[in-house]
Amino acid sequence: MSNLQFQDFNFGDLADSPFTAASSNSGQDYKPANKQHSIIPGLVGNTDEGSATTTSGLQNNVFSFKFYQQYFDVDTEQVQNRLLNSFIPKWSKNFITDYIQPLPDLYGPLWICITLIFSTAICGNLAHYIDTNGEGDSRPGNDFSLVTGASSLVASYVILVPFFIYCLLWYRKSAIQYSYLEILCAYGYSLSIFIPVSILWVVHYQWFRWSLIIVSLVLSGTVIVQWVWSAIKTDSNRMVAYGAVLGTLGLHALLAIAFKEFYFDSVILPQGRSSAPTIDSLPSTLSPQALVASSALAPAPSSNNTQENNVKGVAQNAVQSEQNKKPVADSQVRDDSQTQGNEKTNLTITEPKESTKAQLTSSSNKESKNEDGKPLQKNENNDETKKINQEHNTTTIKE
Amino acid sequence: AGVTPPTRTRSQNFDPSADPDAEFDTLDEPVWDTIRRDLRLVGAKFARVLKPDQNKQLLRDWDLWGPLFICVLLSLLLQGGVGGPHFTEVFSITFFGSCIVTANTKLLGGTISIFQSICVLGYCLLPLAVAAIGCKFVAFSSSPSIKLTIKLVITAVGFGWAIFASMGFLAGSQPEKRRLLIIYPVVLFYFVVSWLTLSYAS
Repeated sequence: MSNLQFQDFNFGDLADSPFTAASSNSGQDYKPANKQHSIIPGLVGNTDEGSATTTSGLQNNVFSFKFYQQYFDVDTEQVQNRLLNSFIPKWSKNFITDYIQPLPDLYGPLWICITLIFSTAICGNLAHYIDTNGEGDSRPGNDFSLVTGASSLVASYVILVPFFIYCLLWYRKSAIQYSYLEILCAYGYSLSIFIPVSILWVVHYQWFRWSLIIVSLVLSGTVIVQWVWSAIKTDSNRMVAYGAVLGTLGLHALLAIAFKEFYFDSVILPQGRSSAPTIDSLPSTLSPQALVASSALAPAPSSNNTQENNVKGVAQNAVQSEQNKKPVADSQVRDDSQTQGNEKTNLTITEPKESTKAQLTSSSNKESKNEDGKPLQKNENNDETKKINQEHNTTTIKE
Repeated sequence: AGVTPPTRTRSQNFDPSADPDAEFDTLDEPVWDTIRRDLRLVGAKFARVLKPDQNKQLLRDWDLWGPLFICVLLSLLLQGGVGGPHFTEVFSITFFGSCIVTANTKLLGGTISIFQSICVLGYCLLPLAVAAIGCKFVAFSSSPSIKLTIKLVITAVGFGWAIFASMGFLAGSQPEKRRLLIIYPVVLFYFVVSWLTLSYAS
């Protein structure tokens, strides 16, 4: 029995074996696992990479499958947690540091955005269908361009706004510098409240829709402001700090209002394309023929008394002017102008997002104040824009 | 038809009791035989989707002809129309939608292989294609509200069938804690295709 001893494996010639961790010069096989890697169970070969570990543990090539797999390493519970906390603000809690770090996930933002795209498109079509009371067999009210428009809007919001915030935090050398993916993750989850809101937007009462916007903005906006503020509050320039917070809130509000305006308050034309509130464009793009036509047609009646007048007025406007929504529809507009002859008045140009939306918000604000629960009040907007058209036309003709 | 079986010398390296030397025949056989065999396999898979009983066979012999055929059929049925999607849009949604759902499954750690998953998701679109055909025939009958209810019922049945069939095939290949995460995109995918069917098949 005394002959039994433990074999000592730390011999010199065994030190190079990959099975022992004793040697300090064990080469690239056995770097101590980064704590990031310990929570990524699927990446077997990760520690073999041998490159220097970064703080976020991104060792893999961006073109490899494993790189993306580490961002999908979430369980159902985690996703549920992040989802719920994205719109339930808890005081003095930072959404990113509490729920997203150390590892952001891309599952949430991806599927929330896709769901949001289709829920706004489907419910927008449903709202239009209900508005027009389902007239017509061929269902002209079903506009697939809502899907493409929504996807552009949501995708650009979720990708670009976090990038701006990341740049701002990096440039100002803020106290907490989140990584881009963490901010993107937070933004993706914060859009989740708009999914039930978009379903509820089908109910066609203006005050209800506005109250939905306000509630959802308060909830998700608070969460966003919390983590933005905690990152930027130590900034030396107070204006930058306040501006950042207000900017993020403002963009969030603009997204919600843009959805509401373009998708739920606009009218579907008999041709099957939606027309949003018409926005006036540069008068230099108007042909002289169109100018004459517009000034002749501008005083066309479109009172908001009866629905028939409403539809006729809007149809007239639509024949003259085709409004593009978020996606670039310039070619669409030109095609329509060619097919419909020279009746075009408002050729629209894709203006910068903020200015169009600012115009929209101002006009829709006026709308909501005059509102008394009637559906389809495009006319006030049309009246305003027609007046603006008239002014533009007169000025250009004078010139 | 005058085709001699391969000599034993060619298949000497193989186990003579196994079947693979039959596959060497396929290079010499008439084209019609090849097509007919493939069609028969695809048809068998259609039948298995419509009556989900034998789960594993579909997974093992995957092919992409069936999904391609179904996606093209759906795109042809649903395209055009006033304000409707173009062929490309429907095809992208169906085909690349299944690719994205498959990528999601793989990224979350599913054990099913990529092509098997695309194959399953594509074949389970068959009930929705049948529903689209049904909706097209409904359009030639009665009053609007009845038409809408019939279409709704047909599409709902197609949706439920597609979900049931794909659940049967995909169950068991997902890690336990992420079942809902994997199932949800599949449901969303079939829901979107059902909505397209309901709205534009007329």
